[in-house]
Amino acid sequence: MTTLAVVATPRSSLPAGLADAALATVLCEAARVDTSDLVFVACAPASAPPTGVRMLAVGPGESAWDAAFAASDGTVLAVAANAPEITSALLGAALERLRQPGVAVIGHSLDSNGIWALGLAGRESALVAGIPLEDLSGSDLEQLLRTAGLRIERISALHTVTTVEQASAAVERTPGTPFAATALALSLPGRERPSIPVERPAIADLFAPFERYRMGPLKADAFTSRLHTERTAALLGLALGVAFTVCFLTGVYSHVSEFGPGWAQRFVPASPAWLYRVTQGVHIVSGMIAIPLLLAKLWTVYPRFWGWPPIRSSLHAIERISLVALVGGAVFQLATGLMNIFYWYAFPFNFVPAHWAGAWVAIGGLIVHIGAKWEVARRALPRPVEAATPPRPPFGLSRRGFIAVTAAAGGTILATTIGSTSGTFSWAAILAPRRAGDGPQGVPTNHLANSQIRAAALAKDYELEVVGAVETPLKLSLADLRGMPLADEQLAISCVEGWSTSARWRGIPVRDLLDRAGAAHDAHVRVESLQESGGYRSSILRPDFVRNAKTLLALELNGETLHIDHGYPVRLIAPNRPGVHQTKWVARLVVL
Amino acid sequence: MQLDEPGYNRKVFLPSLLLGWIAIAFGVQQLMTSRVDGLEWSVWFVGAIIAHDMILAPAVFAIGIGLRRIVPGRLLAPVQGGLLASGMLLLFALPGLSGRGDRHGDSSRLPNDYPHSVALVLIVVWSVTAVFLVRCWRRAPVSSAASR
Repeated sequence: MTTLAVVATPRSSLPAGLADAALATVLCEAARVDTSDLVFVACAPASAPPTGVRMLAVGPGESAWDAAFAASDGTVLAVAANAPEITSALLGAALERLRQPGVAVIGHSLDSNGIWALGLAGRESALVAGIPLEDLSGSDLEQLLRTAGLRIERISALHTVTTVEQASAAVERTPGTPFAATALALSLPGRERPSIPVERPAIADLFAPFERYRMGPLKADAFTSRLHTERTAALLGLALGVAFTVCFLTGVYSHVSEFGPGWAQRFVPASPAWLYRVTQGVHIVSGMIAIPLLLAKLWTVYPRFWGWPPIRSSLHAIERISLVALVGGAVFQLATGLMNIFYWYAFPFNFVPAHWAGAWVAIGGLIVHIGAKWEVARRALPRPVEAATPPRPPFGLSRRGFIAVTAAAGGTILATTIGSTSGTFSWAAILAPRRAGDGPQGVPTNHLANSQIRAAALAKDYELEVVGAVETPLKLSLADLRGMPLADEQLAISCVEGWSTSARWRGIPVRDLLDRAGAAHDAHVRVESLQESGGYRSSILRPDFVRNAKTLLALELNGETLHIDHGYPVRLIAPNRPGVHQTKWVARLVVL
Repeated sequence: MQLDEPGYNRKVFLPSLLLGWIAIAFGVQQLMTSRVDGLEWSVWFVGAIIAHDMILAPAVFAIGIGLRRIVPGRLLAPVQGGLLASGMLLLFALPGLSGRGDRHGDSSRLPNDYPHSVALVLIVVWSVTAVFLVRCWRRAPVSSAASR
């Protein structure tokens, strides 16, 4: 015995006439199908069903879908009353598939996360007894049925109509039906302006002829883990989204600090002195922690890579193209970023511009992805859908376990690398590319003195020049410099690679030197090195850095004369500044 | 599992498409005007996707399928967890492990013995895993675990 149940749930915000018209369309198509029993299941039906249709009223609070399956001991195909695209041919094909043993037939809705059809044979109906099918997403329902050992047969996804907008859009797809006639008669608002191109399932149908060639990962039941769910993906996605956003913003800040155009540099303050140390430390840490998060997230959603049909609608096609930017950008940024801080230059390009471009591509991909997944995340994040998700198989990692292991991997990375920026934990930095405090005079180095620099820096006749837009150009020997009033400052060397070490510096405040030379208070200063070649042989100090009391030309580091690899005889040390701009082996200050 | 129905909220998705693609276009523009060879960059960009989607992920799924065949059901969770953590940490440690880092004669670069560090981390990971393995082993076998 085969029952065809048309299920009406009271969730529609349609005008009553339109809901009835949709129902009439569906019942009309259902009546053409050869079944032994046609039932109309509804919560408080507004109108009586046509003759020949059995009526099954469901009380408030009861599940109409559940009631549909309880209506018969045999095969039941339940379909939504608000899917006016249903045709007798579709229903016939669905019933045909239901004849196979151990099969569940599912038709997904294109407008909601739910379904328009569910078919179960024989006693398998009992599987869904008591489960609020209305609240279950199509994928969760599949998961549940698959866990119960059923094979899922998908039939065409259709639009379901619960809002006036959806109804407007559905009119064109249902020509000649009672639904379309009623909708046209009602002249629905927005009928003339489907301003957004209507998604046509026709695109998905293009893949129908290839259905029988589906194999391997393309098969519906290729991926069996119960962890490939919306909620796992949403939780990991939220964490990853936060990590990427923080990483992106701190990265942009670093880029502006280091290379930014003048207008943007104005937003980089001289105070607080520790700002760059924190932002760049956070940049590297958030990037490193994102690695296990990204791996877990990509694993969770990997089945979608093989999803069938590959394209379901025009918007879906655009979403998938945008995913290239996100997935490629994310893996590219994290992989090359990690390699770069470990000085593994296997890539043929210059890292900085490549990383800068990659960051924008990745964040663009992320923005699109958030927009695409907005509804999914809103549905999956706030409340666990466990109440209705499949019972836990008694083996294998649970979702909680999976996320806990991912978090533990991230925590291990944090614990074994945070010591590259924190002296307190430098002992634990066993996986880090640097240790805070490890280097000459307790400070790491990144560019050592070569023979040219050594010769110039150790020359007996070394003199520091202050030239440019000054009243009295200065030439000061090392003895002159040591004779000037010296200041002590605690400042960090903070590398763009994320490591940093705080140290005590003793030297001449740059502003004292400039006052002595008679430079304007709003002057920029170029600090030039004895170093003859290399990208960082000079740096610019903007006026607020020049005038900041903490900006020194340092002679001593941690109580000792500056080590040659730290810039002997004189180096620049200024607050809130990338390490590469703390010019070493200073030869002259050019006032601009 | 197949795709869920998209269920796009167009009021959110369409603006995000515009904004996102502006950012992507800006990134591409920045790339094209930099000294980076766009082709070399693209090779690495696409290579990153292929490396993950066609090599790493299939390998992980193959290992997962293998595990289900050889590991008793009640021990599966801790074994999966131990392997997952090990794999993630190994991938993270790969640049250090590779020994390809350019120290440039600077002893403060790459100051660690990375194989040694990784061994230490893995010992910790598998010690924790061992605790869970023992706990799961002691738990009474679940009847249906054997049926698969």
